[in-house]
Amino acid sequence: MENKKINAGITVFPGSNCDIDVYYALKDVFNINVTFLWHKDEFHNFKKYDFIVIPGGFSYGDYLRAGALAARSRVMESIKDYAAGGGIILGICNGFQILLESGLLKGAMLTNKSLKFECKDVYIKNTGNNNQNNPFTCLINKDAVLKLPIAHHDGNYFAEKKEVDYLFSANQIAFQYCDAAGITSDESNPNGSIKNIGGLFGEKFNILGLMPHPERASEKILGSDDGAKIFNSIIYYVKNK
Amino acid sequence: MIERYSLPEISDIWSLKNKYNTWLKVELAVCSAYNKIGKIPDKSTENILKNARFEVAEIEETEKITKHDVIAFLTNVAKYVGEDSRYIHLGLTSSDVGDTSFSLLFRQALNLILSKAESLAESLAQKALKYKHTPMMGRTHGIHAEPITFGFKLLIFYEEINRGIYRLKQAVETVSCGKLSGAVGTFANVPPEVEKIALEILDLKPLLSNQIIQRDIYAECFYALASLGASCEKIALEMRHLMRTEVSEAEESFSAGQKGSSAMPHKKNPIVSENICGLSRVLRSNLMSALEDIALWHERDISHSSVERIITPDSTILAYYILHQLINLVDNMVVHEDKMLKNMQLTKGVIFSQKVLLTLTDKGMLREDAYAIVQKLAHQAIQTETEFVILLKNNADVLKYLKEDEIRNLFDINYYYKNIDFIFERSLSLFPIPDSYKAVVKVTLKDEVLDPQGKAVLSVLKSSGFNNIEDVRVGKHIELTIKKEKKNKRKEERNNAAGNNAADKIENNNEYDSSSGNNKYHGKNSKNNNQNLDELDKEALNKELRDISEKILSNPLIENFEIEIK
Repeated sequence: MENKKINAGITVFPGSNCDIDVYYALKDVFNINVTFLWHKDEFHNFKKYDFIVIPGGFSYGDYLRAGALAARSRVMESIKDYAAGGGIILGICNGFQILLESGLLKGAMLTNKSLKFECKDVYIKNTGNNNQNNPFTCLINKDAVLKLPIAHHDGNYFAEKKEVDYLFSANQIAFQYCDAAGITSDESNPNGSIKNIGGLFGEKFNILGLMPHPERASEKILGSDDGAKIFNSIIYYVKNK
Repeated sequence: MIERYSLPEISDIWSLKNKYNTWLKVELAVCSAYNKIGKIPDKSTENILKNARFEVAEIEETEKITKHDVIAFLTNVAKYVGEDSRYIHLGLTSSDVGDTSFSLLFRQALNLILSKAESLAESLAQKALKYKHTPMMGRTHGIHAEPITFGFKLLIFYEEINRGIYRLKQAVETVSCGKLSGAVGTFANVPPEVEKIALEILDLKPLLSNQIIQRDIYAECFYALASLGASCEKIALEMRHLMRTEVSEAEESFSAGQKGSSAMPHKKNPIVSENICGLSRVLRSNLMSALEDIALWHERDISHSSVERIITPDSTILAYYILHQLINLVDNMVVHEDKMLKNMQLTKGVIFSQKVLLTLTDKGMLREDAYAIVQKLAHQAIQTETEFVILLKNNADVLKYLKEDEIRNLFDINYYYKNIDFIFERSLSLFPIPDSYKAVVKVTLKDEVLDPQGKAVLSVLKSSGFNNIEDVRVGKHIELTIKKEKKNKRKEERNNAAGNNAADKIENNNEYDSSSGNNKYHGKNSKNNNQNLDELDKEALNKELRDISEKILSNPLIENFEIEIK
């Protein structure tokens, strides 16, 4: 199957600002068909989309809590149905926050421990033990380290200890912040996330919430093309499913 | 309280079943607290929370033997919980459960009364506005003084009932306290953390206690009730005066088939008002008993308990009944505007005497002289049943200062009403007629969640020299305005909805068995419709706000919320 036959949807909320970046990456770098999904619109033709990306930004100005208002928008109602049917969803940054707020992923985001807006390249480690069976890391080796940029103020992932233990045991922790050598420590934790968690799978592995921005690292010219590994995984998975 | 004055929604609060339910709530909160500090295993706590219950009849049987209600209750609960019941009531004394529950029950009753009082205020405001421009005689010492309007009189009642509402709210605040500190309050056998956690669950504040919660707390509630009762009595007393045959300016509604007297068929008596005046006396005398409950021996004696068993249900049930009666009275009173005007004319215009006096002195007459002349002519007007204005026009001294048409112009009733609009505007801005509820939802990060923003503020405070500040937590304060539907419209809609609903259910015959269930269901529903509307609204509102707060305004994983309805 050619990439051209793959269809992706990108949600757009008031305040989304990475929607165009994701559009560019998917369309121009990976040659995929892309449609924007406006926050006010429902959609029911779930088969039309091979995967959906909820991009980063500041939906609704981060009012109330980051992602809280977007999570209650009409398009998210459709996305919940899409997810229930096994649809593939990648939430990046604010998209991750929206997935948490909508209950599609477990946990919550707090303000960064540093209190700063953190905007820099970080390393994340592919923690997952379920690489072959999920759309997002099927082409990435276990414990492989990716260099990706982060840009957020509320990326301090929190869940109760019991919940975190469960998520690890269920292999739902996708990525952890680490150093270039793949060692997780407080120094390599850019925002205070519990257990350095930077990426989280849904329980059926069709959803990934990811704090760093793979779309900003999909070409060498941007300093890293590690982000392409995630998109290539999705493309590979979609073609071979 | 005798059945005659007991409306079910408030007397149910004081039923044995509700009392034991509340005790259970307290016991379970304590178990949860012990679980949180690691004293009761998760499994046992789960079992207790799941299986703890009681049967009123069984408790009564046991109490015949134990002669101690709390022990009888615990024995009964233990029967349903099994072995884990050893964790219930750990380190507590009976009063820990009894008094903490007492506060919860008192608060429940006061909140019900509060919503009734708010309804009364609304009824008074509506009538005040309706009769804003209806002239009537203002009387001091029972004697004609100067003109007022009937709406003005009602507006005074409206403000006063609003003050009563304020006192009730204070009382709710005051009574929202509990104690779980053991036999003499020293926490000897129960750790303070347990009290803190359990009272948080119950939404009560801790306060320093010996064996019991100090009784000044409850006396304040009885004062709020007695004072509100006295204000209701004042309104009822006014109605009785206005209904007197010689006055006949307003009367209680007289329903078809109603009889005033067994002997005198012509009678229409102010029976509701008299009833209110009588019952408010009971509220006042109960306050005396509540005040006497404050002084007890040493760390407590039990002399207050018998008193409270009587006066607490009685006072709350009566206050509620008084409000209920008064709302009906105000909503349905008959007002004779023509008679009000007629009565103003009884005194032949002397009610304008002050205006005449001021004008004469203004025109140059000595005040002493003016007073003497005006007084003489006014008394003469009443004695000889001659119009005051005619006597003035025929008085040579008066004519030296005023022309005839100037005298006539003094008798303008609108002079007295020039500030009525101002008066109403001021009152209604001070105490706006509630057409919407205001609610505040406070969202705070849970204690165990780090608050970086708070930490940042803390460091700034410290660097600014406020070294005594230990911690700062930043939260959100969210104000909501919720539209309140018009009282009557709401009543109608609710009746319709409930009626249809009941009819459907009966017709489909699915949920309610026609042999027994139907009547019961219907009866229960119509009771709610007539008597318990505002409470239902409040309840629904509370539920809605909890829903909003849980699902949207807060993230329960990391945040707590508190709702306050204003």
